[in-house]
Amino acid sequence: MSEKPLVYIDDLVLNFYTYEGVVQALDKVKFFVKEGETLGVVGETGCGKSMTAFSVLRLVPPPGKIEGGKIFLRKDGKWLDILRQREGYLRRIRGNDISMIFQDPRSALNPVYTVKDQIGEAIKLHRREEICAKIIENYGEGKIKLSNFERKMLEKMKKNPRALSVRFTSKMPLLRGFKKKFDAEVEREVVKLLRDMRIPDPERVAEMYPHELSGGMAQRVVIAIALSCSPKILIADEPTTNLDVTVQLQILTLIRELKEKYNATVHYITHDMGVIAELCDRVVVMYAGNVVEMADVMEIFKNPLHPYTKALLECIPRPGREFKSIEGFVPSLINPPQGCRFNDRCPFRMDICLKEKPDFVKVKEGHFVFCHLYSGSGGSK
Amino acid sequence: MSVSIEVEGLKKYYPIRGGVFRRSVGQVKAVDGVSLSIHKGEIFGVVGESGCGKTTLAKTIIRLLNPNDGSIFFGIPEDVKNTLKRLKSEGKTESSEFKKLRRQWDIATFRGHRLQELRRKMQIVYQDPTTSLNPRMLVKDIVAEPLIVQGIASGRAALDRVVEMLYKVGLTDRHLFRYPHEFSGGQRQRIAVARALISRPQFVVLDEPTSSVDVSVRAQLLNLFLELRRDFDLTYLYISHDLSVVECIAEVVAVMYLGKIVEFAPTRELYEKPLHPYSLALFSAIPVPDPTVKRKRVVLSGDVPSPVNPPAGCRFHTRCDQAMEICKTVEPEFFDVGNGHFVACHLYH
Amino acid sequence: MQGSKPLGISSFAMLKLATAIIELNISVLLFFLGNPFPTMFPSLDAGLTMLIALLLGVLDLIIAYNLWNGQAFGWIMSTMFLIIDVILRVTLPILFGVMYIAFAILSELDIAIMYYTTRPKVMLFFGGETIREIYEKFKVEMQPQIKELKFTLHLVKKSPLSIVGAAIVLFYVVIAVFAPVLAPPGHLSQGGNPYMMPKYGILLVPQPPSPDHPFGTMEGQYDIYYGCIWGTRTAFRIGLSVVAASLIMGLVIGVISAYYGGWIDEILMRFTDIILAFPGLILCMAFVVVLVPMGMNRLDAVMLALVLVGWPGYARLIRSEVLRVKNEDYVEAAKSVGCSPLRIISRHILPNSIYPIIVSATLDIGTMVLTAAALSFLGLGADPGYADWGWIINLSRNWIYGSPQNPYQYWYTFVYPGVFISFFVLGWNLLGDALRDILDPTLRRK
Repeated sequence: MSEKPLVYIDDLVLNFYTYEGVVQALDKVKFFVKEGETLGVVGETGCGKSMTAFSVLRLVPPPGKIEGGKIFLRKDGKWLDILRQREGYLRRIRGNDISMIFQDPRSALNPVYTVKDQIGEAIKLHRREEICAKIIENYGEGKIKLSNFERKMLEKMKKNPRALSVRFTSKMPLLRGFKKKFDAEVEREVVKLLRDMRIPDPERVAEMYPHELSGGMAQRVVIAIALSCSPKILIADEPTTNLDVTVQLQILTLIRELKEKYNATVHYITHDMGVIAELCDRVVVMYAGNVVEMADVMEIFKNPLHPYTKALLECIPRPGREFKSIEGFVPSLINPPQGCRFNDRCPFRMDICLKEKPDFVKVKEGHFVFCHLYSGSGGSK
Repeated sequence: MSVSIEVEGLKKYYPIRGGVFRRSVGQVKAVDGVSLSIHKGEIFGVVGESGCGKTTLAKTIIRLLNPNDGSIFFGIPEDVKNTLKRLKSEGKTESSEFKKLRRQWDIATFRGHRLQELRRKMQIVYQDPTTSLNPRMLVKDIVAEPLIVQGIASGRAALDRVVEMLYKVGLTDRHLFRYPHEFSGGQRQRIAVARALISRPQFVVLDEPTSSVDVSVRAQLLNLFLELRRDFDLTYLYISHDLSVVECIAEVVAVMYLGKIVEFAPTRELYEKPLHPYSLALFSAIPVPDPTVKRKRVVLSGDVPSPVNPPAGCRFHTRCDQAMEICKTVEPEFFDVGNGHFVACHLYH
Repeated sequence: MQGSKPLGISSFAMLKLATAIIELNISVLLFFLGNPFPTMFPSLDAGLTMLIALLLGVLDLIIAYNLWNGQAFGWIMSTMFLIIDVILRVTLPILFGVMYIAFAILSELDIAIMYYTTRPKVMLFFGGETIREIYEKFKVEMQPQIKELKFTLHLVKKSPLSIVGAAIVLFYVVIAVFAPVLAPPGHLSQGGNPYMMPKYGILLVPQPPSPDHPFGTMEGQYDIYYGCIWGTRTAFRIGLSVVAASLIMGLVIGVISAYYGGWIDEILMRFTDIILAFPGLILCMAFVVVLVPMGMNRLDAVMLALVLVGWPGYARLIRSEVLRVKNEDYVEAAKSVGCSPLRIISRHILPNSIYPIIVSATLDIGTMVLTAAALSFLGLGADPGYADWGWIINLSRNWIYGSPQNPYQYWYTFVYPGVFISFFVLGWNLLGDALRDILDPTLRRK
């Protein structure tokens, strides 16, 4: 795990324009994800954790609009501001550099296509050149018999799949052999991927339709699609919330294995502190569109600083103790309260909390808090 | 403590229809022979994963569904229970006396008018408050409905009781004239609780009532349940797949797998010493909110078998790493391992 | 909330309810039968009086409902009601003549009620709440409905086509209501049916528009203008009655089929399939041909045939919606509370499933008129001389192509009725579309 940040979100502002008013969903959100680490983003419904992830991929649904801030991705040694790129370029990044998996695996899979088709689609989209090159190389070693014509077609396909010659010949009955070889290679890749996901009997599963899969299996397929192009970072939006606890264990074990094997960077969104403790290296806590605390996982559990984090940890039901909850309700984001958004529920509320927004303060190395209680401790981020 | 609910050999099968005339080509054995007893004032927890039949069990117990077989005794007096036990042990289950007593006390046989009366005493709170409240009815109508339907009160008197109930669950009378979609998840669940309790039932099924709400609201709801149990003298059946919540609120917990109960015990006893291999796997899978603790994990292989064709013998043997020869053919009985702890597993014979 | 309601208000409420029922019945009578009461202005017909009776009935229902619940009105609402009431009730006796004077006397009584219920001293006698409190309570209670209404209006504003559609339909409503004024049936001396078109001569050739006959005349010298105006009433009658009847029939069958399932569902749906298997128009014609010799009025036969052919569509639609709603949690919750099937259907299932039906019904109103016009065009519709757009076009069949030198010589015979039909259907279609956009619950919840 290196110290270099891979994704850096800087002062992100996101607003939704609805009939009832402007929902200020994200209010200058700021955090980063380091290469090779698993970052947990935790918070309750409506705090904006999913929307942050969508913003990174620029998939925010209307009537939402990103109104400010920058999102940096480190690609090829350079910083790329995702919010300033063209849509076409972004399509190359989605699935290739940044992948996302969602909460309900069943609805993330298209019910009329087999598993093979869906994973294959992602591969064909992003790894076409690599596959073509692979087939051509193997020709020399006698593994695959390629005619001259087929080799020429594959070269063309590698360079420009939309060329008329390629498209035309791939539909002709006798000439489309090269396309078949390409599909076969893609299928081999799919089976390899499924095996990596610890799916038993991958050849059979590849031919199945999503409705034939159980929840855990479906989620693995979704992860397979997400990882098919070896993205730099995987964003997981509550992938195990809808699953049974034993299946959740299987998926978390899988993610941990992938993390170790491929040094994957994972941005994991959840509301379950137990999963955070299991899986994550660093934690970001969000509330009502703000980041309120960011620290290592050990720090967060041992030494939570922000009142909300403290309250959240207290809320976890423990036997023998009476149940603790946080008084009050999450404020409406259409007219968010002035000053700190947690001020009406905070037991340590001061006067300044009602008027001014706090600063993001570095309390110690790697531990940041967004709270007036710690403003005095100097330092900035 | 007197027994509130006594279930014996309850079975609920769903027919699978196929063919031209919708013949029954198979059965989903959702609940396949469950027996338990819940004492008055107790919170009885049932845990298990999706598809194990716990929700079906709960709905069958309160007669929202019709059981295929088995008995459910609700509020049966001690002497009648003893009589029935005696008659059964004497093999006189076909005698007219037995049948008469059964018709009188076994709510599995109730129909029509008696079933209608039963509804007043047994209620349910659903998992998802968004779908369990009619989106086109005002809150006041939703909560008042049991009173009107059961003929308990109407008009002004009903409205007064509704207001009283709303205050009890932590809402106000300003919330009377609103639609459900104007509320947050936690508040909607409170409305559902108000609706369930307004007819003063004795027995309430809580079907995963906190799984659709936020963590911070969860505790509020759990406190509410405990308070209402005290105030209204209730008995709860708490269904959940969230083991950590059940640990804190239930007094007795039963673990279900594929339509049968595999283990049950008082909560502390069960969570400290789970014995059945499935329970072990289940408990070890709970993520612990403490990064310093590394729990020993039992990872189950494969998927849950289909309830249409459950495995022969012990249903868990296909995924059990300690399966023996006998497990493949003989279904295990409940063995008493002391402290009120019962396991259905050949390992403990 | 105060205690039980005082005795005085409930009896007033009952009185109000009685007058409301009477007035509503009068309006229904007027709608279907025309005006049976002798009036002082014979040319002013059922339409206007029906509307007034309907309004009064609705008003009285509102008052009765609120009085029953123990709420009287704040002074603003009372004055408003008072003014409206007085105006309407003074005009009605003039229109209706002697028969209505009895009701007018009764209604003076409730003017007194409304007036006195706003006076604080009397209020104390009736429950002790001050006017301000009652008004505030009224506002609070109506709050969710008001919010929903505001949201609906906002959605309406967002789609201008809906306003266009509503305007067109409103235009036709005005024509229909004021038909006796726009096209006075002066050709009838005493009595007679104003729906029969007047003949002004015996010439067979249609005459072009002239000051006497603004739209021209048809073969046989029927006045086209008269026919178009009164045809609007016929159109509404056909459209609304047929759709209402087939809607109700389809609703009943569809709901029973979906709710009970099993064999009932199979049988009813197969029966529906049988009717749907026949081409609609042909089946209609078959029904008409069978029913007319049995002594039925031609137009009524057409309407009955349309109903018999139209209900399966609604049955299927409502069945699929009910099947969807039946499995929702709140329906099961209602069952767990002990609701009877009737209550579940009426309070839980129907309100959540009816909206696609309403949209479909609105769209169908236009379609029904079109179908009836088609039947008339084919000669199986209304009786000859009846004011019906389709029948006008039927007569103009021979004159669509005039002489070779001037092919559009008789354009007025089919253009005017054609335009009336097209815009009528267009208006209802736009309205139906707008309704769908507004009532679609997925679009509503932002």
